Amino acid sequence: MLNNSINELKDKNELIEALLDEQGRHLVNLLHATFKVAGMYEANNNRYIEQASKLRGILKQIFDDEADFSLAIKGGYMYLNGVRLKADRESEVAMTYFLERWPELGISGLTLTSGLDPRELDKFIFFMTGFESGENREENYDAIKSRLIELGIENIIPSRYSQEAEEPEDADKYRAIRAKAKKTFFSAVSVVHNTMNQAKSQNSVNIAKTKRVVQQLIDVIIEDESALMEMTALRSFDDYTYVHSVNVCVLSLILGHNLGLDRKRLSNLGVGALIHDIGKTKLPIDLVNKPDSYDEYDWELMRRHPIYGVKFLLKTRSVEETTARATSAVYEHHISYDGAGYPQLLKKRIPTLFARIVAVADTYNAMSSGRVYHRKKNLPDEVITNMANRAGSSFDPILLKVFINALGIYPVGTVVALSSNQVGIVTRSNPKDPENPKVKIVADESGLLELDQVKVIDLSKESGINVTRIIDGDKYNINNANYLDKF
Amino acid sequence: MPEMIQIDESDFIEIDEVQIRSVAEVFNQLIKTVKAKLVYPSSSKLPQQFMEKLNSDFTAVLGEMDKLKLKIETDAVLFSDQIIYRAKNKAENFAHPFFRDGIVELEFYKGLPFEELDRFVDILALVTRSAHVEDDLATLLWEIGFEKISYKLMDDSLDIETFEYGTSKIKTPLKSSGIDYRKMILENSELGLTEEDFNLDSDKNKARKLPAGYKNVPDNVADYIKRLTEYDDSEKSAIAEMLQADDNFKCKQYIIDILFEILGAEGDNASYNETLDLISKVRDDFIKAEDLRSAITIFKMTKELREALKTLGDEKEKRIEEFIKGFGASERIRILVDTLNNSKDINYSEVTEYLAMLSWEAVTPLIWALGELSHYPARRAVCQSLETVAADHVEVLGKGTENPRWYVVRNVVMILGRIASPQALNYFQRTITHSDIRVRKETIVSAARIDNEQSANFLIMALKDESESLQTLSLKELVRRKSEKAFVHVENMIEDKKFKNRPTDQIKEILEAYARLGGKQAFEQLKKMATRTILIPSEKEDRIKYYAVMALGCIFSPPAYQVLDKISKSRNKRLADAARRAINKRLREKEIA
Repeated sequence: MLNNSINELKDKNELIEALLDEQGRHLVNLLHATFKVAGMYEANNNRYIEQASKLRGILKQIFDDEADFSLAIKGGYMYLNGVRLKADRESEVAMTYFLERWPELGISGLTLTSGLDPRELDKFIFFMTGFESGENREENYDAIKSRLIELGIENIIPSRYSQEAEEPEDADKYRAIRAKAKKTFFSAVSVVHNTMNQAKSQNSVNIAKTKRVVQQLIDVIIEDESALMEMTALRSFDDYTYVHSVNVCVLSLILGHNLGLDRKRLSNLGVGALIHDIGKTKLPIDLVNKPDSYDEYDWELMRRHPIYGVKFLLKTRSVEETTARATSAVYEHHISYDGAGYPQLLKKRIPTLFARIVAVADTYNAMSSGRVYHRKKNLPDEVITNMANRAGSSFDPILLKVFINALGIYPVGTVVALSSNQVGIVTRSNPKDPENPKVKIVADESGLLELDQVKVIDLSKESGINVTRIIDGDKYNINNANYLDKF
Repeated sequence: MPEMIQIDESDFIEIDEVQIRSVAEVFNQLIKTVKAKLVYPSSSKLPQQFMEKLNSDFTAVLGEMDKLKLKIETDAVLFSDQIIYRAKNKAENFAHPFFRDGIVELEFYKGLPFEELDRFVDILALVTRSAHVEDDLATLLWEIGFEKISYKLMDDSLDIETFEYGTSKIKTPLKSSGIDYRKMILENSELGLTEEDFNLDSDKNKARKLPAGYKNVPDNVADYIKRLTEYDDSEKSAIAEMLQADDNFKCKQYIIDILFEILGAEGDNASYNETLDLISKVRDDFIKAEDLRSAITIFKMTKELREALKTLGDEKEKRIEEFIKGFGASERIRILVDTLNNSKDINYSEVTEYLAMLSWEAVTPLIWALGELSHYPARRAVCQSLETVAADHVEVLGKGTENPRWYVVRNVVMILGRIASPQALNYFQRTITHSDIRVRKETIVSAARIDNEQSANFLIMALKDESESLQTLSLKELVRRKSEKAFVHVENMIEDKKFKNRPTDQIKEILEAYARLGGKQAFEQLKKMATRTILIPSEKEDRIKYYAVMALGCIFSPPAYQVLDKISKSRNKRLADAARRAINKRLREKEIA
């Protein structure tokens, strides 16, 4: 009985929200259309009269239920009395108009009170249509406010555009995702650390535990790829081997996710990627940590690590799907798309899908960090250029394309110089406009900014600011880790 | 304003109790369904019936409460803080798989579809059946991505030995360290770029339309970067094909292929042996997992490899030869026996196919297996394979006749009979006198399969077996063979004083055999028996007379006919009737002949 009544209440609230959402979208559409018509016709024109009548109709409907109401923008969304309006195909244009126009006018919303009469409404429509905004938002707002008073418009009250409206509506959600990403990333590093140690000392590996952390990584990726991508861009860890494995895992999962792999396959892919270098635990530690370049003998040994990995896995595990899939990544991640590489195949063939994915992620991370096999560190554009140059020979061209698309040409974590004479760290790529990602501004001509001065700008919305080049953050003391909590 | 709800507390508690009972029943049904899936073979209808009942129970409960939330403890399951399940003992603790894997809460929502519930039960059955699955309950449930079932994991379920990591460790002080940022920002020479590269509006860059940082790339890369965000139809279909191909990825075949690939590339003997040992281990894993098909594939590939290496005559060839023999080693057969005894769904034709590939060295372990196998189809598979494996090594198989277990001996005798090697008769000499009648019977049947004089002697020997049914069995076989040698032995049986005391069926069989084996030779004796006048005949004597008349019908000679004709007209109705039947039988057999 109690349950039923709670459900009834819940249902009622949902009903009210759904109603406001529908009315809100209708109102936004009609308001937008009325502004447009007012821009073309006089107030006594039938076309306008007809349009204004429709607008009054929806306003009356809303006033029937609500004495006063507010239509507002916040974090890229529109709200009617606090209920977020779900943009659909019909209302998308109108919403985009208000989301762009109102901040220019310095207003974040309008409150309409029940005393509103048609004359007042018409005055407001024609005033707003003819209003010429200046560059300064504050001045625009003040001008609108005072003019409305002069016109005797008392029942439509604008509210000032605030920083709060600019902050993402789901800032808390972002914060939570970032925190989750960080926690999961480091859990994964710990799991790899334990797994590698177990492999070395106890000759066993706990696939379930490995899979558990992989599934948590996938949960984060499904929610927000950038959060984990940012973690992979951190380059200063001491235990590079473990972090490299987690990075390869995250990058493989991002590629797999963008490719459309289902949960089960993603889960298996992640396990394979996380332990792709497990064979290295069977190599002499001196070789793995050798500071000098490898000689031919070193290489011969190093080239056996995929085979050592296979032998270790199959010795300690039974041949079930996860193990078999992981084995394919372990065995073939150094085999090129054209069958070259190592271990040498008796008969050349295209490696498995998982191995091809891990190969792309492994190469990208190794080249970006410059720690594996003591190569030099490359900047993201150099890595992408190098890999793109090898599409079809070393890498599956389609997978590489999906990968670069997912990462963006300026991957998250890339340090970029901007045409505004600022330096930023890419915090979110922009699939629709890859050249204009979201960037954290961390330095300007005067030097590094204080943390509280660091802010995020969306280059796709900031006209006139472009990326001019990619720079090596290390050279300029720009450490991504310092800015993780800024988004 | 919403209507105020008046709650009568006593009603509320009552409803709760009813709900608790219903939920307990649902959980109980869940356990039963999981057990049914574990116990019955996949072909059985019972698990499906249990599933349907479970589904209807869930639908009923979720109809009442929208969401069913269960809390899991180490050995109990709770609903509304009331225990609805408590494990009876450690061995049968249904809460354990959940708790062990960190699942502390389960939620089922209204509209739970049958398919989702079915998959949930399948996963429970999987983790309950074997502790050796590589996943745990939580990872398996995650992979499904249920819509109407959710679960809560303990925060520390990963049980990670936390390693000292964190971004605080890698953060650095925000110091510019005297770097001239203005110079850095304004300088564009770092990547060897020219002024033109930096000028986004230059003619060259406009033509190439490449983003900053990608100006100096080769044309092929430039083209690649430019087309990055678009996927043409061929690329879209390539992605679809890629995923489709991956759907068809055969995990086990892949593992087998790469193991042989690695083996083929191994240079030194130590690595070669290590890989062979690994193949051996993988094969054993397949057998344990009831996947005989994959084990057969390994077997076949090993044999192919042996053929390929034959010409080399090196150490590797010898090693492969040993490896092949190892397939039939005792410890390997032991693994197979364990699998067969615990399996409910194994494909027995694959078992036969696998075993039939073994070399003769496996004969002794296979005989041992015959004594250990619990299920008839498994024993049959071993017997069938032994026919092939032991065909050229009857002497090894024959040793199985010394086995202390009568049923092993019987099976060995049967296989010897099917191989039908005359050599088998040496072993039948022992088994024909075996204390167990079933072994002796099998010996007769098997000996009958070997069509030679020596086997006839066996059958004659069996005429003296203490079991009358075995005597009859031998007799029939001797008749089938038309063994002339047997006639005199049958005659001895008839002349024996105790003959009249034999059971009716046997008297009938012996007399008929006597007639068929002896023909005219038997006529006089049978005529005498059939026409002998006894003043007050006993029932036993009457019986002999009757079947002697019937046996005369098996002698195709005019005198025999005349005697029967005469008897058929006699006043003794019973005998006359027997004679008529014998005549008819005789006619039928003649027609058939």
